[in-house]
Amino acid sequence: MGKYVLKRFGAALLSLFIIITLIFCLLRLMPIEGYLGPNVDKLSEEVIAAKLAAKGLDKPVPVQLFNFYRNLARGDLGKSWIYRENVDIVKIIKPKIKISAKLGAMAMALSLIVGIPLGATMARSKGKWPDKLGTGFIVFLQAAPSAVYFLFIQMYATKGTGLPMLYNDSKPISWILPIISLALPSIANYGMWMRRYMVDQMNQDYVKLARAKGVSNKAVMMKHVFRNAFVPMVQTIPSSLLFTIMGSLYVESIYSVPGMGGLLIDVIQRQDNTMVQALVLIFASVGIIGLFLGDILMVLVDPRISLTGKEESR
Amino acid sequence: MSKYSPKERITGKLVSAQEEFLKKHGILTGDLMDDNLSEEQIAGLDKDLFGLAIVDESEAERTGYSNYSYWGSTVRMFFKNKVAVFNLIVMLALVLFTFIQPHLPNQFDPNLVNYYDSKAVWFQVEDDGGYTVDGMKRTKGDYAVQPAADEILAYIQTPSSWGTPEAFAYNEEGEETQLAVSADPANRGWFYCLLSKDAPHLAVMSEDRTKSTFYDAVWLTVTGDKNAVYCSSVKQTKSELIDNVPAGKSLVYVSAPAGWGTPQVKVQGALGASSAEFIKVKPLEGEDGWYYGFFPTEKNTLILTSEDGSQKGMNRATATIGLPEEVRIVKGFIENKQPNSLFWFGTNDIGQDLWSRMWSGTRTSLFIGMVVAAIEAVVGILAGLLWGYVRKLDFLFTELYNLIDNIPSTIILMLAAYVMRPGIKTIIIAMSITGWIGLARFIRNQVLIIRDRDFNLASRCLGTPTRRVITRNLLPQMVSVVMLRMALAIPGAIGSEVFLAYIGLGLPIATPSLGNLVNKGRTMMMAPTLRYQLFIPAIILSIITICFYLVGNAFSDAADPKNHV
Repeated sequence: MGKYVLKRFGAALLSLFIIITLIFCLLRLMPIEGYLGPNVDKLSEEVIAAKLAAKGLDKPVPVQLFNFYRNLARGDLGKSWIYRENVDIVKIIKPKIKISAKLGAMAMALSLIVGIPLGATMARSKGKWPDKLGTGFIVFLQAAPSAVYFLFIQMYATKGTGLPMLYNDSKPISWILPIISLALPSIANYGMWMRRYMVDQMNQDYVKLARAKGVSNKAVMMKHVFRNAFVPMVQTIPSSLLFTIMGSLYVESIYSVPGMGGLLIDVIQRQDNTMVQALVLIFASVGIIGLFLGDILMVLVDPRISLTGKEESR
Repeated sequence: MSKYSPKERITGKLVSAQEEFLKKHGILTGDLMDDNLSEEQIAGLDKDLFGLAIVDESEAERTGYSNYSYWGSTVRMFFKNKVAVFNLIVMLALVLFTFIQPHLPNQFDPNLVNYYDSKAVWFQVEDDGGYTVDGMKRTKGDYAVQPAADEILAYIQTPSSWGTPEAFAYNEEGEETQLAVSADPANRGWFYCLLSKDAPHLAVMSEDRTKSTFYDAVWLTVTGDKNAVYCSSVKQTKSELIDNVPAGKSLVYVSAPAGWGTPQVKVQGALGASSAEFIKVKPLEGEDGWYYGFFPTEKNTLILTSEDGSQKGMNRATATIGLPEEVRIVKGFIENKQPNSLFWFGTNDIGQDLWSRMWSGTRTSLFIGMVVAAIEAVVGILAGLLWGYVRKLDFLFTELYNLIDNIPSTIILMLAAYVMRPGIKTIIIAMSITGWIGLARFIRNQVLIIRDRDFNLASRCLGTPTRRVITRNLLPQMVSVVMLRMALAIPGAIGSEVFLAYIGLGLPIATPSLGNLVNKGRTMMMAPTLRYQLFIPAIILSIITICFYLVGNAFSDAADPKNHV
């Protein structure tokens, strides 16, 4: 196991290195004008040169890359260029991550609490009305554009229940609607996959055997089907939990949540290269760590799975 | 050769067929199993029964094996799912219609900005004398006459019961002139007349002069539940107007709820309550519940109370009898019009027809979705097969996957937008650069599962070339899952197009797509009257997604041989 972890760690570092280098080089392809603010035409050549030099953009790309890695090795992500000029990136991101992760974690808890039983109920009553009702609900949530139904939730729920329309960090009651909005798509997702995995398991021979032995329906469902169906679900949970720090673009912009949602897009559009690099680094690490934790969790839940076997089962 | 197959000859089918044959022709009365048939009965038997039974090998083969056909069973299974069939029909109809729509008559160009007509107005009259007037071009073709600089061309549409209408124009002093009305030869039911800009108040009367859009009277009605008073100049009584109106007075008709008795009408002028006076109303002959009276034209605020004073009209009615509505030329574009007979889905904020934009957008989005799905399918399947089958490439592809999966697609898209002009091509390329790897990984996992099954091992032992193993042994096994992925990739691509429009990287406004229509509608959300601009594209988008999703799911279920009976 230890060897496996080390190997994965090495591979992760390599992937991260390639991703960051690639992003770094891609960002250097962006037009120079983007770094100079709105009045490019009025600037003299000396000012432009000075501005570029201040950001280190005048040096050749390999030198810039080397400087970046040197700073990164010291644990310095750098300062934002444009988003909030000359503020430490860590300082900008930290409160945002906190808010997004808080909402995201609660939404995820909600969607697990609702989605898994929903899927299980649908699987148990396959073909009957709870299944059909649930399928309709899931299809609707997946088909309707989320940007649209989030707006409706905000409009009608605030009218109907008197809940606040905008997010306020100090008033937990204003968190309810953003959390519900965040949870709805993943409820549909968890419900759908839970149902599919459980239905797959219900057709397996061991379930027939258990029934033949006279195990009660409830016990078959809980001890056999549910546990086996839950294994593939488990793998995605750590990465979804970690990815909550990315926030949600739609929900956060509708409720004006000062979170991470849309931050990456925003800084890409403003060509704030240091911010983009830092965010990509964080998100890529989170993605890789999440995948790894998922694999580990899967081994813990299902002892039959071995990660060090000849073929990794994914 | 016997016309009966060996199977029929072996089973009882043959005997019973003969029995039926004989009974039908009245030859046989009892049981065929009786051996004592008469001579003529024997003569009536089918000769084939006693012919040589020739064994046909191909026929024997056919009866020996099942006639199972994969695609036949798949289609049969699919058609058992009524919901999916319904969705398939909706989907096909929708797709077909998007391509037919531009060729239908009377369609607007999706990018055409519609302006109010600067020379003409369209005056539509309903049977009760109510009317709408605006500058939306409702007639086809060119104008029947070209109006001069100080004239307005007025098109008039009246119900057929009105006959050829007569039109009257009034100037600010109230002087009346009758206008020459002629029928528009190019548009049935439409008449036109020329209106001077000096006398722009227009009234239309029916041929027999019993109906008009304008009367020298007002009609007051009181609703039963809230006692709200409505004032209208549309004629609501059936009989002809009272004609002996005293000088300086105006005619008013009042209708009150049953419990009111004769309504008391108090009138007051600009000075308020100090000038108030009651006027006498008389019941109108032959019309139940209607009363009429005359009020001084200068005192035009009317307050209604019931006979005993216990009920009171909620609001005061300001009854103005002046001139008919002024016909004005509206300048600017036809912005934010609710859906109407001319613009079926209304117009947007710069006067473009949403109906044609809608279908043009659906066309664009479907095109993007299909092309992206096709590219993903071709590249994804090829790469996935290589990735799964050729072990040496596994490491390379896995690293590539980690890379592509972790680079935010927004960055790639931004760069693509810088390199190329924003447009359909850019979006397709940007989506395809990253999209194929998902399908490739999926195929790879399938290949890993199937690759070392016994039948593949056997093929390899027999020296079948790799290409043939892949195309004959591996690919057909993945048809159902690949089809499902394709069906879901189309709404997926449409969805990401919506997302791109949301973050401002979508198609330019000149290329309508579901993404920028939804996005545009989103900004209109806060005005309740403009919500149709969001609803319509959102509903179409949902229908497309639901159809593809359900049809794809049903098809993949049907394509799974485990479900074939």
